[in-house]
Amino acid sequence: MKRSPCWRLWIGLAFAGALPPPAGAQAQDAPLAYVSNERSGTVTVINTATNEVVGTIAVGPGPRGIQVSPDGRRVYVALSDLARTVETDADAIAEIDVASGKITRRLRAGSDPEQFAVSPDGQKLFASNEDAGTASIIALDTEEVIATLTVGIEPEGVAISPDGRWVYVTAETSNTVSVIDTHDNRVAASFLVDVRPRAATFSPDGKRAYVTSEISGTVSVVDTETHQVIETIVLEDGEAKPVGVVVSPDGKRVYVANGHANSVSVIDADTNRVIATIPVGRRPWGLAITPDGKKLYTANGISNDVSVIDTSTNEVIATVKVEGEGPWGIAIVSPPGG
Amino acid sequence: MVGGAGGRQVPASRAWTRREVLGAAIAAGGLAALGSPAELLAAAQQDLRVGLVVPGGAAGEAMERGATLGAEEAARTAGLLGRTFELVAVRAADREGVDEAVRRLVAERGVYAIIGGADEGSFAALSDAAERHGVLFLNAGCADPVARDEHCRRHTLHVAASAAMYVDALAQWLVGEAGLRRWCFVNAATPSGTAVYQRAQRALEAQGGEAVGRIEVAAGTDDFGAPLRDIERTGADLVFVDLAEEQRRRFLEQYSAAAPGFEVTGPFGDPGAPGDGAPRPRVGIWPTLWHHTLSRYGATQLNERFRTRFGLPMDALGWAGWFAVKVAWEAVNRASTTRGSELVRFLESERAAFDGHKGRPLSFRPWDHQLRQPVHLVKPAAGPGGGEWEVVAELPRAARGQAIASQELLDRLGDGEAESRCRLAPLS
Repeated sequence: MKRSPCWRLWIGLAFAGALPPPAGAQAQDAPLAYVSNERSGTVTVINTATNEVVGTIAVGPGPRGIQVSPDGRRVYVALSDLARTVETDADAIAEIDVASGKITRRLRAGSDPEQFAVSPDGQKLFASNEDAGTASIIALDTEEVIATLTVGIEPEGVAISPDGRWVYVTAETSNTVSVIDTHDNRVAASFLVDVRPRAATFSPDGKRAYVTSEISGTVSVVDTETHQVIETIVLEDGEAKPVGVVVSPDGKRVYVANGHANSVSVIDADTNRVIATIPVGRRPWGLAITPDGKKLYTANGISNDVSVIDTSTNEVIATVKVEGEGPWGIAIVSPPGG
Repeated sequence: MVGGAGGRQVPASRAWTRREVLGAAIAAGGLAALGSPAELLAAAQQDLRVGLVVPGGAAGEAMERGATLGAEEAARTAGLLGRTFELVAVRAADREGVDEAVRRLVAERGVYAIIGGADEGSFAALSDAAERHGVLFLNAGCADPVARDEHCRRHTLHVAASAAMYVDALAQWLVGEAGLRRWCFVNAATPSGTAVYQRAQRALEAQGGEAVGRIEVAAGTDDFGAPLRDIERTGADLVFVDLAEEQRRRFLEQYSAAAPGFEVTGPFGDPGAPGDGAPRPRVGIWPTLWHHTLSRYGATQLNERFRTRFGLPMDALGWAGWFAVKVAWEAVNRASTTRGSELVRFLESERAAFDGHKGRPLSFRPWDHQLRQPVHLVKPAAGPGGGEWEVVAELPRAARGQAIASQELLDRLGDGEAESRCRLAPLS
């Protein structure tokens, strides 16, 4: 990174609290957004300080779900070829080393992995196998598939509670969420949600989970102690086709990507009311929020770009063209120590 | 607006049996407070069963394949929730056979819903029988307007599209997009043929088209040389053919050989369906509820599941059978009842919307119990080889950039409340 000529002066002033660090230093330490591009088989890397593309990584066919390891050193991305009914060598979870930008290994995760979650201790990965109607549990140290569990039909969304105890797996055709107890790696319960559930996420305190239902156009609010739906939030009169969902780090806001409506719904987590609707690019599915909660990124699969939202104003402040086709998911990595 | 599903949590251990529920109630001394034995059993009912009644033949087999897949999927989901789900399939064709089948299914097997309608005769008998027994009947096959009007029953809901939906879809695309405005009609000399002709004429004129001729065909006619020449003389852009299947096949063979200067279409008949006799000549543009090349909104996955299960492409009757079972299964869970009248009330309500892998929530119109859904148009696929059709359009279409609610859009196909001849009796 090229530094300004007055670098030392800026450092001194910044240390004194008088000025922010120069843009160069900010950019160097900024979180990076990794965007999976389903149709081009690549991952685009965006610097969240500058909102510029800083890299493109060829990963393999059909990258979709993308997640960060708890230590922030690795990014995992689910790959799937077109042979949906059989597991092939192309079906894998690719592990990208953040420092080098290189793929370090490919993990077997059953057939047609789409979404997945990594346990908070970094030991296990839970993946949905869409065509097989199963969820696979992979031990990340041995790369062994240690369990394959029957869940609903056409599973997709996977989310793990902050304490690592529960894994929710949504199933599009069954309209169910299967609850995996990670203590014994088995399905402890299942419950019904609205029609065509696509994704799930937990609140930072683990007390709530949110499940989007694409055809119903709703978000189900789940009490994670009882694994029961306690409220249903309707988005855009039920026509939004919501997919991705994330909760702000402070737990106060729930953000939902509405694929059909080309928007993001902002929900007040205390009242479960929609407080804003933000127009973004075309077909937003995946979304992620920076660790400081200040910026939200959406992967827009038809306009082939990423919308950047300032969460204090709920306005799009930048649109970043990816160097690829079909943005699907986003994961944001903090630099080590950041 | 779809509400939450209640979110009952069922532990991984099995659900209670009926005996255990009753025993617990008795032990707690609260039997009277909990209601009648029938209500207790209903509340404890974890074993769900629906019946499929179809005649023999290709149509019945096609519907049964789809219903079987739907039941296997419902059973799998039921297992996750501590329940069981079963499809009981019965062959019956005439009214007496259908009546007996329904009686036994309800009384002896405890089914709470019936699926069928593979032909007009069995549709009519099933609609009446279901009404007598107070159980839900999902018509997955019959589109005949006369049969539907005569059997407009409160417990009957239609997954199969109506003739009005098909002709609206055809008129919207053939006139609006393909510019084929001058239509000549060929229909059977029957009440149904007349009813379809009248409705198609209205659909055509609503799009700005013009009816330039009409030929009524008597049963048994198999030489269409003269009618084809007559149609040519009208200057028609297109001939709308509504004949019984075998007659239609002969008409299309002679149409194909004559290669006239007008297009051909008609209201019914999935050209991709496996049939009893010779395949239909690959000519014309036809409406269908499903095609095995549909790929969006999970359609690819459904098509693959069907092909994996049966080694055949999913056709319209297969889709309708599959979807009817899905409706029956999901309605019970969302309405928390197996009682026919309560299921009907739920399915008539705003809360009842389902995913048929067609991209929009599918719901039933309360005035005629018709499922709102898109209709696809298919034509022969380009290239060599036989037997392949491709999708050319999905109707209805929203204008580019137009934001329109799904119900409002889908109500552009079929009869609105004012047009409908169905007058549903009150529920008891």
